[in-house]
Amino acid sequence: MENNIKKILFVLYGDLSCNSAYHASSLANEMVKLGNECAIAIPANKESVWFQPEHLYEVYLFSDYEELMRWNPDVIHYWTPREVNRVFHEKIKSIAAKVIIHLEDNEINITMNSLGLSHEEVNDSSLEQLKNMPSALSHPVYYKEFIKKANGYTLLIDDLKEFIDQDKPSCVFWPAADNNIFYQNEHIDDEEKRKLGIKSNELTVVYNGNAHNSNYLEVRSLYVAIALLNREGIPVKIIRTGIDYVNFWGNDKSWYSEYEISLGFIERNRIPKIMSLSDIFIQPGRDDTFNKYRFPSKLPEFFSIGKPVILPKTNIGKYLVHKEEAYVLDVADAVSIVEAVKEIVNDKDFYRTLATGARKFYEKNLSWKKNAEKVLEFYNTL
Amino acid sequence: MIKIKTKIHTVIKILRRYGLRGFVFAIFNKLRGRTALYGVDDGLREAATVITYEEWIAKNEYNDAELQKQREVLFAYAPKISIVTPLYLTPQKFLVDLLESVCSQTYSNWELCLVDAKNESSIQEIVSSYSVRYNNIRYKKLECNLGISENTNQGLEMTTGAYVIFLDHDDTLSPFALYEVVKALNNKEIDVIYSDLDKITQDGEKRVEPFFKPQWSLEYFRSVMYVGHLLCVKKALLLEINGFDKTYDGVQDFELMLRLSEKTSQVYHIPKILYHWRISESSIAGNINAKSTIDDLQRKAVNAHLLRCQVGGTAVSVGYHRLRIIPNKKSYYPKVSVIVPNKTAPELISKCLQSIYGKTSYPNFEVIIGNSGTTGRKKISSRNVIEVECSKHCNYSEIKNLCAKNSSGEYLVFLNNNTEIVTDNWLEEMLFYAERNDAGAVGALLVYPDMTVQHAGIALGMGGAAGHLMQGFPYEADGYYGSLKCVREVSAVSTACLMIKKRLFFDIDGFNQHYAACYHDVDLCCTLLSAGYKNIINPNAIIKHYESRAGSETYNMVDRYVFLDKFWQLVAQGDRYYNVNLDLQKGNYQIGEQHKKNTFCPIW
Repeated sequence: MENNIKKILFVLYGDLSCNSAYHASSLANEMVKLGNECAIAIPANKESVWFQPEHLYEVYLFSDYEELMRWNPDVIHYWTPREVNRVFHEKIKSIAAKVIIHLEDNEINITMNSLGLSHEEVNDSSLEQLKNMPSALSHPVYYKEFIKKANGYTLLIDDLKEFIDQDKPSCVFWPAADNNIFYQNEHIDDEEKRKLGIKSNELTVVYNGNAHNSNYLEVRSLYVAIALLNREGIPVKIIRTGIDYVNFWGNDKSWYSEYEISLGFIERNRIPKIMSLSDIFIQPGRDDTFNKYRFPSKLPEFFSIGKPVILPKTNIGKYLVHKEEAYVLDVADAVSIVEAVKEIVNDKDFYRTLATGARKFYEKNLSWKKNAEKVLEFYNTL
Repeated sequence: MIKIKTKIHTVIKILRRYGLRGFVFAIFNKLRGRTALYGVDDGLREAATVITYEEWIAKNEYNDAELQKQREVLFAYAPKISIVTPLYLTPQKFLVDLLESVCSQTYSNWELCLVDAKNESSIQEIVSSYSVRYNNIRYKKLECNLGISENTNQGLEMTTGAYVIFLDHDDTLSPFALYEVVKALNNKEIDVIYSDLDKITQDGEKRVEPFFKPQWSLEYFRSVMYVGHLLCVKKALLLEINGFDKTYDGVQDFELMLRLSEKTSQVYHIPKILYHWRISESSIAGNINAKSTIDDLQRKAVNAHLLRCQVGGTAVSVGYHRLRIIPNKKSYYPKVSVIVPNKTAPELISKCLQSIYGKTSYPNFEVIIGNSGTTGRKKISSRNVIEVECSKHCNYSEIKNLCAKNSSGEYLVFLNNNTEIVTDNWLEEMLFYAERNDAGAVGALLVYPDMTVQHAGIALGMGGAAGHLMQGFPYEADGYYGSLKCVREVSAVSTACLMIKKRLFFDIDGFNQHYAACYHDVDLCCTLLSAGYKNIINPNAIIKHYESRAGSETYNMVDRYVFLDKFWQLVAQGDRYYNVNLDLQKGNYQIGEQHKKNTFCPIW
């Protein structure tokens, strides 16, 4: 098939420090390496490009739209149908480009949770909160109109097909980790652990990520599991990076604080080293409307390092072989996590099986280069 | 100066914790009138504040704009609702109030079927004046007064709707009553709907004494006519059971509901005030001793119902229109294993055992004591008890599970060692409910040594997790509309005295052994609820519980979060048997205001 697509414009709803930036940036970088011209347009803050480890693409602001029109991309790939993207599309829709919309989550759920609205309220466009909602969210009514304007879609997980125009083509790709900094690392730096105050007999679990409105109950599940393991004779420490935007601990942290080492927000390039200290990786949660439609960005990082991974049977968990590639739980709540951890740490061979299985899964399925090839091929089919 | 210092301190705290971006969001939200960084206690309903009924009405009922919006709603399923009102010596003002309340309904597909057993011209004139404007008002004169049941049945014959609501001639409906009923019908397959109600003064000017009811509770209903008004029934079902039975005039609606409960379990409760019951001397609304034959008729109705249901008990009146079902004598008494964990305060075990053997009238039971690290105690040799030795590291769940494995009874009763039996037929009373097919856990009324209530059922959501209802109430009090006096369904019961079928106990894997000290009973009960079983509190089984009023010193936060982690969805749905409009902080049935979740969180 002839490759007519050469110039690709990605449109992000936030600057290059936002959650989604890494995915768009990685894809753009790989496409450039494959001989294409790529650009990423962002609402503001061009300096945020330095948040990305590599940027082989050009960066434009939305206010540079006239320049973008002159550049005349072949594909405009909107990273989510969020309101700021939808409005920007109205400015540049005269460009004769294929329009792709990328979905990475249940957008309405995010809007609902962010604004504290019920299902009924979120569909009432006369509601005051929706009239003044932040443009970095998807408008529950307008986003559907925007979705229909696409020629095709890319999706982070196949369940997101529910939200697209069923008559139009879609392409699913799973995000990978940054191979420059995440790699298989069986070695655990005991000295580093000691510096953090972790004893040699203490199991370490590293969890990197924020606690926000959509996931705080899962984060709590993990902390409850840590507290329970300690209470039941398995000393464990949790090394935590990220910010708690939500209070998931109740009135008092004393029930877990002695087991936590909180590093707060740390630079991205430090994360792999911290994560390498983990004996096991745990993704709490269950198959619900939040998890079903997302691909937790830390999962590729977990698998890339090559340690046992415990996760629920949702999104990517549905595709993993239980007790070979990961420990897959129907519901990864506190008690289930505790039982799984006990089973893993009490059997060295089993531990080894899961560690090896995780890395093998990563090598086979998670690659930005392969994603770029796949998406380029998809563009050319439109 | 102090205020400025506090503000500076807050700013520094936010910056340290959330950085510049988080600080910006905090300001953003402050300007929008929201709390920037919220603390959502377990993500559930925040604790309510107690308010007056007037305040509750102002905050919770629809305003004019919302009522107008209701009129414009097009339901996918919009059945005709027939309202049946028998008239007899109806005061004119009452009739006008009734007609006004029906005609102002925001849902329009209704018909009003008036059946007049007295034929007063003044009444006919009033009806005619409304019929001119509303052609869905129908009127029928009866030759004579056939009694309330037959009069109502005559009204039923007039109906053409799919569902029927019964409206007494001196009462009124909320303007959104039919709207709420139809809204419910659009979401579920329902045969019977009932709602909350309040009372109106004689002049109809003031609304007082709301009754916020639980979700459908058959056991509670067998003891007290809590369903009352508003009652809406699928017409086909009413016809199937031949409507009202004149044998029970005076309690005809109570008896009707008993027969309906035998036909369907699709009974739905709307937790809104849809009906206003007028206070008058001649009605129970105004005088509980009105209709003096009520008790006898209710008793007969329940006994007939129990016979039809093949439930081996006999209803007796206990005053104030409350009933108690006395278990019949049995030909076979299954063995009951009474399990007493003896971990803390082992010095109390002797007193506990003395009361078990001294008081219990039940003829077939064994006592199993789970000793855990209780060294230095005297061996209990003079009683026919089985002692199971558990490791000193065992928690209560482990002790109880181990004892259960060593039991030979068909039923298990878990009893704290700091208890004393008060009523000698406690096991018969509890077994009567525990042996039902749909029974989960059955609990007893636990009282402090001063005979005030320590436990009368557990409501989910109290204190953000679960808590005891009616603590401190005198044990002989009626409670909230009979809630203390009557057997009723609850979300959970305390394991200080809890009975369960042994087979069922092991089907659900017993007590969750991850709890160190508390919540293992609530966990068990929630597991049973989730599996479709009913948990019941029987206040006729009374146990004295020597527990500190300050609460258990063994409260454990990790246990709390283990429970919430597993059951937060069940807790977030609200307690089925403790109305959403009641205060959850103290669990004493005062009116409370439940706050909605109000959150904002940055998504990057």
